[in-house]
Amino acid sequence: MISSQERKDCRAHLQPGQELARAALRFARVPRPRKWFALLALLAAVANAQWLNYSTPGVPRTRDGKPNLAAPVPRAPGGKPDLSGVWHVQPTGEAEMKRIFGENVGIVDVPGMEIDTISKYALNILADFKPEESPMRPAAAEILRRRKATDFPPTNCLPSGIPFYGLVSEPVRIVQSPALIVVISEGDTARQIHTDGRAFPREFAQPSWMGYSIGRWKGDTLVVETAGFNDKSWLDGMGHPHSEALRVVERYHRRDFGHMDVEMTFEDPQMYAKPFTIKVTEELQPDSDVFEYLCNEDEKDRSHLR
Amino acid sequence: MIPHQCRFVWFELFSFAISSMLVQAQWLNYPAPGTPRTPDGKPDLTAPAPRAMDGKPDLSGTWHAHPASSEDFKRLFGAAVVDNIETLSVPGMELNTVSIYAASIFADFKPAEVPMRPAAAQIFRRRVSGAEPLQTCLPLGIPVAGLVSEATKFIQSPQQLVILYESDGTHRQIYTDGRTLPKEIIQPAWLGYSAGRWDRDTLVVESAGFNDKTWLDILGHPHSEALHIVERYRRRDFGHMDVEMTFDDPEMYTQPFNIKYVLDLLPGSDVFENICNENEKDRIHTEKK
Repeated sequence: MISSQERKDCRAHLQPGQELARAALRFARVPRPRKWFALLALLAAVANAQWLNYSTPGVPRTRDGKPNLAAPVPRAPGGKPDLSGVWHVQPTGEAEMKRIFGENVGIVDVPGMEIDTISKYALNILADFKPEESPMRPAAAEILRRRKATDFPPTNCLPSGIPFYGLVSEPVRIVQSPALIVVISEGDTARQIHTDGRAFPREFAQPSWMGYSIGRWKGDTLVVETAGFNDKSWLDGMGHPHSEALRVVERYHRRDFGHMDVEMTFEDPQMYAKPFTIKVTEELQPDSDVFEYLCNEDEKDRSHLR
Repeated sequence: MIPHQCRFVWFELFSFAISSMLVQAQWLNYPAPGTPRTPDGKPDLTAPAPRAMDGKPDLSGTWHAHPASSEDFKRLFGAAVVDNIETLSVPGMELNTVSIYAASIFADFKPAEVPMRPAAAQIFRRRVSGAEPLQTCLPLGIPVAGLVSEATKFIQSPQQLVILYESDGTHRQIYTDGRTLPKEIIQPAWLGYSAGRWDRDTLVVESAGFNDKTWLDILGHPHSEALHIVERYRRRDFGHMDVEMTFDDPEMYTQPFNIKYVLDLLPGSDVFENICNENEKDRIHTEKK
């Protein structure tokens, strides 16, 4: 992965609008099974240098001054592990991406957003399944077949939703307070996880993009349950759908200072014959930050995509 | 006030009203643990301010800027205009749910005493006349996002304070880990860059690094990238927080000026998810202008 400085430099030279339009045009020539390469490029980025390279207090350091990512897990004032920090999903790697998705997987390269900066699950949440073993019900397969790249919500400056926001090139920031954890990402709406002991409401009168999340500690693992989703977000760039019946259970375990194991289980009996699980590792991005990103700013794509 | 301004207030408030309204019942009426209550079970809003585990006052909670009354607005803009706006009111977004400073950051000034420099006055006149197109689904910015009908949520951790603004769906980071503002701001941002420190029980927040795109109020008072804001937050008791904001922008104003308002706690409430682009129907109308 390129350094945050290089990434910042690259992004500073990006013209998001132009890049998006170019990506959209390229998409028109890309055969259907590869539609998601273009989709990822449609998520543009801006650079805000003042956010970066601040030497964060409280970060354990090795003798040469570098963050010691193998140091023990920090603790919040209440004694629970403190998940706060800037995190980025461990990317799958180019060779593995090519093995799974074919040689042309890197067809659209925006600096800082190359194919080896994302998780395979961003492209296909069922990447671990053989096609013939996909648990999709016919209703889900039909929606997947019908979806066009230009329908992808982030392409239209709408939220990408769970889990996509945490599987792509941009980092996320977790801010942990005793009663509430907030997850902020670049370009998506902030997510609240209530950890004050509340249960789910009896009914979800108004389903939402990010759903309603409650978290509880099981030993040193934060277990987050989420329901109350609308059915508009895509589970991945390919377009695997979900219904409002979706329930997600996430398990966050900060293994050491620099690494967090995340397991996410998706259960949506309307769309999938059985629950399925993905496992990723989050890597701490010390002294980094999430940028301010406003999709609508200087946005010139939507008129082309209609 | 001149009639143009009045027309514009109406237009802006109206466009606020149509741009976003989502009601999400699951967010509401949750009796949050740790809320002090009176013998009849209601939240005791005059109980002492809670403390975070590090001993600092805990500013966390769902807050709403204390709104002005219709009479206040009539005094500022004239009765006829206010009556006009009120007939258009969307439930929950009536004029008397908005802070007076959302309408005009100079509400406390006599028109002749507003310290605008000629450059600011020129931009202001253009905005008031409607010549500058509205920006659709972009941030309202500081301070407007926190002064309108929608609630704001503060989440305080030892290292930072996050503010979620329902009004424009943005989130703001205020670092309280000891850092100061960067010496150089390479890429100005809508919400700037904010660093806070505790002055006894008051959180003092300094912000700079703004772009010049947000308006300081709905009327359209401008600011430049040189804007520097100092905010002082003091949670007076469980249910009330005193806020003082000082604006210093020597390129646009001959002197710094400040506003003081109260945030009222909304116990058991929350901010809603607000996705402006969802079902958004304004853009096509504003682009024609």
